[in-house]
Amino acid sequence: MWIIFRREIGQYFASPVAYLIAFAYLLLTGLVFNNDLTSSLTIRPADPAVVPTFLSFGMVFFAPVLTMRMLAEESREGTLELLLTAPVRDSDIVFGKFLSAWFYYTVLLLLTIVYPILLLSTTPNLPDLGHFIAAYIGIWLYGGATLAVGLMFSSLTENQIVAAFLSTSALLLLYLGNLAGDIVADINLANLIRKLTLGGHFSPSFAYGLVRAEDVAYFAGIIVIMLFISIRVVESRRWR
Amino acid sequence: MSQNTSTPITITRSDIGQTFGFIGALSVLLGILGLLWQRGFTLAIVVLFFVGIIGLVLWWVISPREFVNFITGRQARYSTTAFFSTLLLLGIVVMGYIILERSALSADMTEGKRFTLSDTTLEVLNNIQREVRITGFYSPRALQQREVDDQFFRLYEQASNGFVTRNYVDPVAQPGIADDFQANDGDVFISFLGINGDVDMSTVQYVTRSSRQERDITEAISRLLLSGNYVIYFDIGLGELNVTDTSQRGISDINDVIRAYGLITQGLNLEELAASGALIPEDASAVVLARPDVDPSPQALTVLDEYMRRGGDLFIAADTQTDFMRPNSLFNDYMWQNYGLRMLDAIVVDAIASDETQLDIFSYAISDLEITRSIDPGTDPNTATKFRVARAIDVNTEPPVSNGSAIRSSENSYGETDVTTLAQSNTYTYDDGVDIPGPLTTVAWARNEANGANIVLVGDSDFLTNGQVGTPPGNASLFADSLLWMTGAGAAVTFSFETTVTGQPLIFVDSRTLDFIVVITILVMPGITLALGAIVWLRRMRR
Repeated sequence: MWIIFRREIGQYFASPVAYLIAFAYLLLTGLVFNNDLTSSLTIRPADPAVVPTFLSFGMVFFAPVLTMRMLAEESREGTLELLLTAPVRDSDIVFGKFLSAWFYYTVLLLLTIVYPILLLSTTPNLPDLGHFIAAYIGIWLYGGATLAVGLMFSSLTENQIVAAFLSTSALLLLYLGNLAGDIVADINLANLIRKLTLGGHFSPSFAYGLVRAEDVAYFAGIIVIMLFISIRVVESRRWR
Repeated sequence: MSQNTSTPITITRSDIGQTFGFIGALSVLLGILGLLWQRGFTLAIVVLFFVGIIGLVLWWVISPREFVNFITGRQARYSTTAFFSTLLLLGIVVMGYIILERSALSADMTEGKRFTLSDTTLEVLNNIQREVRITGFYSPRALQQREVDDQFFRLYEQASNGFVTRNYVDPVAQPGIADDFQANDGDVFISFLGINGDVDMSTVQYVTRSSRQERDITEAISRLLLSGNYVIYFDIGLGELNVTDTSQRGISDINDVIRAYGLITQGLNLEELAASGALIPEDASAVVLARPDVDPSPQALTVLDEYMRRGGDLFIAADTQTDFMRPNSLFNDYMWQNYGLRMLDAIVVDAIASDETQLDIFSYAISDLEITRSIDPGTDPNTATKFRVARAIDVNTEPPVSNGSAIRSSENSYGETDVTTLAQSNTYTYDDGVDIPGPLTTVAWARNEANGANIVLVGDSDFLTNGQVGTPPGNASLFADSLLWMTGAGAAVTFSFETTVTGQPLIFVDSRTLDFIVVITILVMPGITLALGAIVWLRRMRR
């Protein structure tokens, strides 16, 4: 698994596209952070969850871009068949690729910790650190779940664009499902839909500084199920 | 000329069979989902299963070999195993999620412990002896708000050993229940439950909503626990301000405030009681004399004295331009001899803590007492009291009972003794040796430890009127907190929360620092990644 992981990480850092993604990511989070900072000056405390809250939407688009090529490209170029003949398990291939994407995302996330550090160095008025940590734990798990969804769709097709489109659509549904109450009249059904969504497990808890076991279980569950399906899809090539 | 060549579309038996098979499988799947959702068979579910079976049978009839291969083939075996193992994993994950959701395990990481109940709340919850219901009204549109609130409600449920339960009502789907509560979307109510387990509507308390959810809910529970246990009598026999008068000069608003605290208010006529030989009712938790025009008669004073000897509580709001508590009057002497407090014929003029004129005085020196617990103008100017033309109070330093000043004017104040000139021409100047140098007491208290009698004496009454009780809100707090202290009800609604979201510091960053942050976060950091990307790309190009 670690061989796959290292190979994928190497590909990330050797690809200009990954830097372009990082550029877009840092530019957008920087704009969001500065916008919140200027609007909160002397009026209210800085929002410790402003960047994670933005990322809860941003990952709908970032995750597919980070994962679309992972299995789809291998499949299109025929290198997946080569990998399947190598002495690695199917699960190692999927785990290695997923962990590399999550690692890359973690690096991007850690870069945004510069924002509160900058605040700390210039003013003693720091935002609520506990709240900040909870929001970052939440968006880290959230990001893991979105990457797992992206990887699963990448395993289903040979076309990167199709994989990106399918995973963006699925993630958008999982994000917008949070607003089910606006269109569903039955409150029980709306609540059930909310419980299935990514936002429903981030915005009322992590974004407020609260870490709930059920939310951790939800994101971990999404990761486990999506990776399991991805492994089965990769494995299905041996059944033919 | 181009020639169009069209490829004929061939539909095989296999295609038709597969289509039927797909329709059949989809129908069976939808039927199973419908069965799980409805928890029973409906006509639609029966139709779906029927279509499903027909579809699968047709597939078998049209292309039997393919059907058999699909069922028994290597791919089918693996697919089936994969499908059921995924289903099993999904079940395990869902089960784990449900268990964790019910256990309500959480870690409150906020610095102010925003999602942790304070000791005060736990103390209030320990006093609950009867089942309490939190009823929240949330439509599907307010689901997110419901989930945020629910995190607090379930803390109360857990900490009360089952005495507090929560229930949610959709005001759109159940407008009748919303009407009973007069509830809007997002409203929350606290009430006791009746014997049959339904909400006891006579006990319903509205929960005011602010960013301090815990305080709002705990205050509502406190009001519920206090509800009906304390009766406040307002005297009406000495020409006092009227609790039913809703004009600017009335005191109906303050009546509403203390009723909102769960206290009962009633009228009382001391003179009539004295004439009929009756006493102040046993259930009186406190008596209020709000700007009497005259002193009570000797007979009425006897009735009042008997009440005080029983350990009664008395709130007095005296004022200028009345004959109440004039120097050497019967009631003023009674108060001095028994409680070490008396009104002076002097109007407080304050050069520092005043508003439009030096006669509109703000609370300046505030003693640390229960009756002044909400008054902290240093932190929030709105918590100050404001008296418009107030009389000074003399506090005996060698009193017969415990007493003291609660609020005093500043060092740059004095008591104008020429009240007549002030009333006629609104002019005042300090006359050395004639006027009384400050600081002067405007609110005082006394407690007879032997019988538990309490008195709060205020040198102004206008602060209670509808026109002034909320400007600033500290006026209302002074009255409400005085009653809560005297009656002892304050023990149940004394809050000292650490949990306030406003406790976080505001950010003060100068424009130079702000520019530095913008440069680093928007230019330098993304710029470096872009430059690295360009280097990687150039290296690749060279290869």
